[in-house]
This record gives sequence, structure tokens and C-alpha cells, in this order.
Amino acid sequence: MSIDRSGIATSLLLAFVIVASTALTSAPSAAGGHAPHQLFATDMILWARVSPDGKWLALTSTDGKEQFLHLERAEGGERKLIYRSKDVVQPLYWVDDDTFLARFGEQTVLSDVGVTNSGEIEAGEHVVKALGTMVSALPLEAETLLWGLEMRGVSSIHRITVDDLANYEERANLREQEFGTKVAEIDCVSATWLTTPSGAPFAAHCWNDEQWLTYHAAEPGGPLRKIHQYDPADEQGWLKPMGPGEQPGNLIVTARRDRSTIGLYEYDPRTERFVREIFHPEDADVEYVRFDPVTYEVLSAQWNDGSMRRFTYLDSSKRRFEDLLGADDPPVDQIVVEASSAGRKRFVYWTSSPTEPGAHYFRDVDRDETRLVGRSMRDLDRDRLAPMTTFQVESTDGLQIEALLTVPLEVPQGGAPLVVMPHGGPIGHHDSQRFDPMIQYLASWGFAVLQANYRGSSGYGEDFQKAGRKQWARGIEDDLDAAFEQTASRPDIDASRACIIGGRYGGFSAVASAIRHPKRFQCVVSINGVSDVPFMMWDGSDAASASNAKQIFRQLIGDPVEDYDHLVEISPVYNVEALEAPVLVVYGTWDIRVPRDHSHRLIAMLDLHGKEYEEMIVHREGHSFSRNGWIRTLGNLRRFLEKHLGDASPSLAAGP
Amino acid sequence: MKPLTSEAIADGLGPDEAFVVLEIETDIALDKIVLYGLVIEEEIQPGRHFWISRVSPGRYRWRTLHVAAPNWFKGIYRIKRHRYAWPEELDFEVAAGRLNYVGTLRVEKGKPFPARPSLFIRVQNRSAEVLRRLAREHEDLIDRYPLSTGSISGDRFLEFYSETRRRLREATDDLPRAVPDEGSP
Repeated sequence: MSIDRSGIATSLLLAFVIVASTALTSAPSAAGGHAPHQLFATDMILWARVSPDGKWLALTSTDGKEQFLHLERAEGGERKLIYRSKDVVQPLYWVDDDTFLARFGEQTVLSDVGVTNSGEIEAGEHVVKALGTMVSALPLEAETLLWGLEMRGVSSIHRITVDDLANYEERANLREQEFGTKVAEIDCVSATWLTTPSGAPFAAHCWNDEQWLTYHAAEPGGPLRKIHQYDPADEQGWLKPMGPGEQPGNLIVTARRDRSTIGLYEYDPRTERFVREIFHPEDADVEYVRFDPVTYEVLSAQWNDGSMRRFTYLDSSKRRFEDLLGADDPPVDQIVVEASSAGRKRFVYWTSSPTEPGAHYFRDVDRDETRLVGRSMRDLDRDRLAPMTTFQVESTDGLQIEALLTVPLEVPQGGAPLVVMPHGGPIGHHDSQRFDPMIQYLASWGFAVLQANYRGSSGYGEDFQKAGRKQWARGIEDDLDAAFEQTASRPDIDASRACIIGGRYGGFSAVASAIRHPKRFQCVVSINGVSDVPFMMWDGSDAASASNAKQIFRQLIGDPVEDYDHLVEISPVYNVEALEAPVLVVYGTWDIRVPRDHSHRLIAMLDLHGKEYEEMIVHREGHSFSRNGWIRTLGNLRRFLEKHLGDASPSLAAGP
Repeated sequence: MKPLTSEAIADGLGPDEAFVVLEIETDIALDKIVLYGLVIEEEIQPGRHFWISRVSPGRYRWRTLHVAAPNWFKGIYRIKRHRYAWPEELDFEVAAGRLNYVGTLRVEKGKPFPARPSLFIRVQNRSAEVLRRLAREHEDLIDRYPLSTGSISGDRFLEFYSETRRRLREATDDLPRAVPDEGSP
């Protein structure tokens, strides 16, 4: 059989292989957009804690390579470096007004603070290599704390003094029994202990290699008995103690309580009844709960209201945080109170947004002053970050969905080219209004970015999430179509120049959408994208190895045997013929959730049909790229977009 | 079973014969791989190996692999089924007159310095990656013989590829060739 050599030449011209390397993409940006490494900078404040008397802040931070411990005077912000280390830093704690400790890997740094006669900050530093972790300070006892140990499958807590800890290393061959006074122990690991301010444990949550266990003591400090256990696969069984209830002996817990989402409840362990619902947002999980470190009162619950992360404050105190904020502070549901002094006279809060990667502020209530403590990515020019807006879209069947649009700060005449970016998942994931380095990168180079929380996304309720089942390349992409069409009518968008980019399910969706609408997109990017759905269910994903994989696949996507024809019909690899837009296929060689053979299959079929494509191999990256993986990828991504959509910078794209 | 030379591959298949395409990626030297009905008695050095062999059609199953002394990992290891895998993952069917890809055998060292040497052994499906290599190194074979996924997994990508390739060739007789993959410019 003869082979037409001109065909070979054409194919070779159409296909390029890129092996991602840092050298290609990490150079400083030219005029215009951000360089990838600027948007993936790793400097940030990790933990901030206010001393009980409100006079000091202890801060840990990182520059991406090292971790730092600083002490800062609350009034004036004068700061002193106490310690630096390459080890991972854990939360820091004030033991009392003058003593705090911080953990760096296995090192515990104990520090006494004070002021010299000349007014300078004085802070001693004593480094101890001690097993275990701090469980809590004991606000009622100076220089005493609770320390947790984990040995041979048993977790225990011990009451120790600061001196006990400081002298730990001098007591060679220290045995567990000799480490302070043992307060309690349970036969499990990864324990979370709940104790009263005087250090009496009343509940614990831990893992025994098979199940999560909840322990409770009828009287604080009394014997702990197991009151609940649940298997991780048993979603309805979830019950996690978070703090003390209002009524003595009760617990504040997170639980599902006959709903599909997680809420916050007061629970009576003696009767095994839920006494009251504290907060259960409509159709969303409570994801995190914060407690007042002094009163142990429930402070706030974190949850997702559609694409917006919210913090609902539940404190009943007279000094509610929403009343303590100043006129220029953000709304209370957009801040996280990280730490406060006794009486909430001074506190530190953290806030973030699409144009703010994260900033810590110190609030002095009596003085009605708020000052910046520090920012994450401090060298990033916030003025060059593009804002994100949200809008409602009515899909083809009338379903309302939320879409998110980031438009570049400067838009050329005729509008900015559009990048549509479906999220992964697809069920139970969502895009949110937060700082996203990839979106800001594209926006800084002149591309508008459209995201859509299509049916199946989390944050919009159980019915909405269920509506995404078996909607691959169907209802989900109908939603994306509706969002695209609504966006295309905006004067600041040039939808005749559009590309669709997605990772994981988003990669599937990108190629499937371009197959559904061959003329709509000028290019497609699939990053670790699913390309062959039946293959994924057989042996093309580690997810297929899970014990309940078959059941989940049948529920969410279809049955690989009974629904085989449908799954082939929606899979990009079996429908490449209809594709007209060039494709950039990006894959990490270590991905096991969507193994690289999905990308090889897509490329083999693109090749067979003589379609234009580029291949980008990102070595030693898995399903979710690391910071370095993205830095290696984004430069090539932009080059591909500019090749097919034209230069998006306003001055050039506007034309003569 | 032994890997065929390029010349032997070019000889093609006789009646009631089949090609087996096998990939082995191993961290350690292997001395023997045993399947029900087949024995690969070839010293396999650490690295990535791509084999084409000629066998009788039929049903086979991955069984054991052998590591000889003085290797720290010396012993006979059972090639186990993935804990929750679909049934018969380790079986494969070799069809006469076809190029049968039967899987990629991956052998990785367990934890460093284990008290007892352990290996992570898994048969993976890398059909398209192997296909692209076949297209690069033995394109004539793909045009002469239809491809099969030997695994009993229900995955039919190679069959689809083969059929599409034949259809396109018949329609145009102007088939673009595969391009090199990773490592090539």
C-alpha cells in the first residue's frame, strides 16, 4: 500500500511536541501581562495570633523557601524576627500574656516576650525538639498547656508546664508516663481533642484505621466513652464534635442529619439527639467552624454561597464582630477572624478576593483603627489584577446558572478575545470568586475569561447538583453554551475570537464543546482531560478501582456496558472527525486519575484525521499541577492562544 | 515467548498465529514472567521495553514474575488483581491474525529499605501510547493487521482506531502518518 509523502509532511507541520521546561516560561514578563511566577509567588503570612492581653502579635510567614517567626508590637507594628527555619510551620499559640510557642517540623520554639528599659522588643528563643503537639493553652493557668502525644496507635494528652517542655531534651530517655501529667488517652490516632479552659477533656475525634470515632465524657475530665463511629464511605454517618454545647454535657457537632449537606448542630450525646440546629445553610455544606479561643463560643461557620465563600458569624456575645469592625473594613461575612485578645478589644482578620490573594489586618476596637499586618504575594501589583463579576444565565431548559466573568483592565476597541474555562469535576465542584492565578494571567495578557457553574456544580443545592448527573456533553455543555451566548452579546467581548480551555473534566468539556460547535472556537486546550469515557470506567482511572466505582459511575455518568453506545457518542476520541479547531493537548506524566493515555488517545485520533494539534508533556506532574507545573505551562498556553486568537493586548488588537 | 527482530516481524503471521504487543516498565531486573499458557524467559533489565512476539491465539492470564539472586528483591511474585478491579482484569484474549496489545506490566520497588522487599506490580492499559510507538516504528504492521485490545476490560479503542484507519485509507488512500511523541522535536 502506498503512502502519500505529502500527507506526512502536512501532518508533521500540523503537530508540535512541547516538553515543558521552566526555562521557556519563567522569564520576567514583557510589557503588558504578568509573568507566571509573579502570580504563583508563595510568600504569605501563615498564622497570626494576638496575645491574650492584646499587646502583641506573633506571626509566622514564608517566602516560599523558609518559614519565619516574628513578634510584632500591637501598637505601632514594630516587628522583630525571632526564628527562621526550612521546616513546615504549624499553628502558633500564646500560652499566656508573655509566652508563646510555635512549631517548625519537630522543633518547638518557646519564646518569652517583653520590653527592655530602652523600649526595645525583647524576646527570648528556646528551641526544643519534643515529640507531640500542643493541644491548647490553658487560659486559667499561667505557663501551663496541654500537650498531645501519639504512640503505638494510642493518643494521649498531658498537662505540662512551660518548664517541662523547655527541659524536655535534658531528660534523656523520657518515657510517655513521665511527660507532665497524663490527662486522658484513647485507642486511635489523628486525634482532635476538645477540652474546657481548665484543661479537662470532654470530647475527642480520631481514626482507628477503619473508622472515625467520637468520644465523649459525661463530665469534663471524666472517663471518655465512644459514642459514635462512622465509615468514611458512609456519608450520612458523619458526626464530628467541634466544641461544647450551650447546655452542660452537650456538644456542638457538624452532621448531615437526614440532609445531603453538612450543618452545625447542638447534640446531646446521652440521648443521641440533636437538640437544636445552629446553622445549616440552604443546600451547602458548613466547611469550617471557628471558635472563640477564650470563651469557646461558636464564632463563625464557613460555607459556599454559590460562587462566593462566606463566613457567617454566630456569636451571641455582646461584642459581636460585625459591631466591632470599622467603616472601611470589609463586610463581616467576607472576613475570617484569625485571633483575638480577651474581650475582643483587638483582633486580627484575614480577607481575600479575586483581586486580593490574601491580606491580614489588625483591628484595635477602642481606637477604631485598622492597619495592614501583611499580604500574601506582596510584590504582586494589585492594581494590575482584573475584577471578576458574576451574572445569572438561563440555560436552554430554563435552569438558572451562575457565571463568572473576568474582563481585562484594558479592553481594545471591538472587545477582548474570550477564553471559556469550564471547571473540573464535574459533579460537586465549582468555580468561586477568589484570586485565581491562571485567570489573572490570561486577563493580564488581554483575554477575558468566562467560567460557568453549570448543573452539577456544588454550592447551589442538592437538586442543582443532581441535575448534572448523566449530563456529560449534554446539559452541562448546554449551560456553557448559554453562558457563552450571553457573554458574546457584551460590547467589551469579541466572541469571534474565542478559545475553550479546561482541565480534567474541563478538558473533556472543552473538546466536547468544540465538537458540538465546530465554528465557535478558534482553538481548544485540554489539560489532563478525559477523552474516552468508557475507558475511564474500565481501567483508565484510579477512580475505577474504588470499591463503589461501578455504582458511582452508573449514577453519575452511565453504565460502561449497558450505556456503551451513549458513552462512545459523548467521548471526544470517537468524534474527532467533527472537530475543526486546533487543539493543545497538555498532560502530566504522573496523572493517575486521568492517566496520560486519555491524551495519547486524543492525539492518535487527531493524527489519524489530519487535525491540527500541539502536544505538551509536563513531566513529573499529576492530576493537579503544582505551582512549578503551572509556571512551566502558562507561557506555552498564552503562545497558543495568541497564535490562534491574535495578540490580545489592547494597543495591537485594536488595529489601525 | 521472545521479542521478535524487525526482520521476523516483517515476515508477518502464518495461519492461526497472532502478534502480541507488550510493554514492560520495570525498576529492577526480571528473569522470568509467567502467564497461564506462556512463559517469558528472557532477562529483562530495568527500564522500558517494547515487545512484539508471535503466539498462538487463545486466552491467557498474567500469573507470576521471577527475580533471581543476587538481587535484594529475589523471589517469585504473584501478579495480583487490583483490589476492586473489574473481574478478570488479568485475563487477556489473543486473536488470530491481529496485533494484540495485552497491557503494560509495571514493576516498581516498594518503600526504600523495607524490612521485607516488596514490589508494586500492576498491569496498566496504555493502548494509545503503545499505538503511537507502533505507528512510529512499525507503521506497516498497523496497516497490515487490525489492532485489538487483548484485555478483557471492554475497552475497544484500538479496534475503533484500526477500523477508522482502514475506512479513511479506503476513502482517501492518503493517510497522514503518526508523528513522534515525547523526546522528539
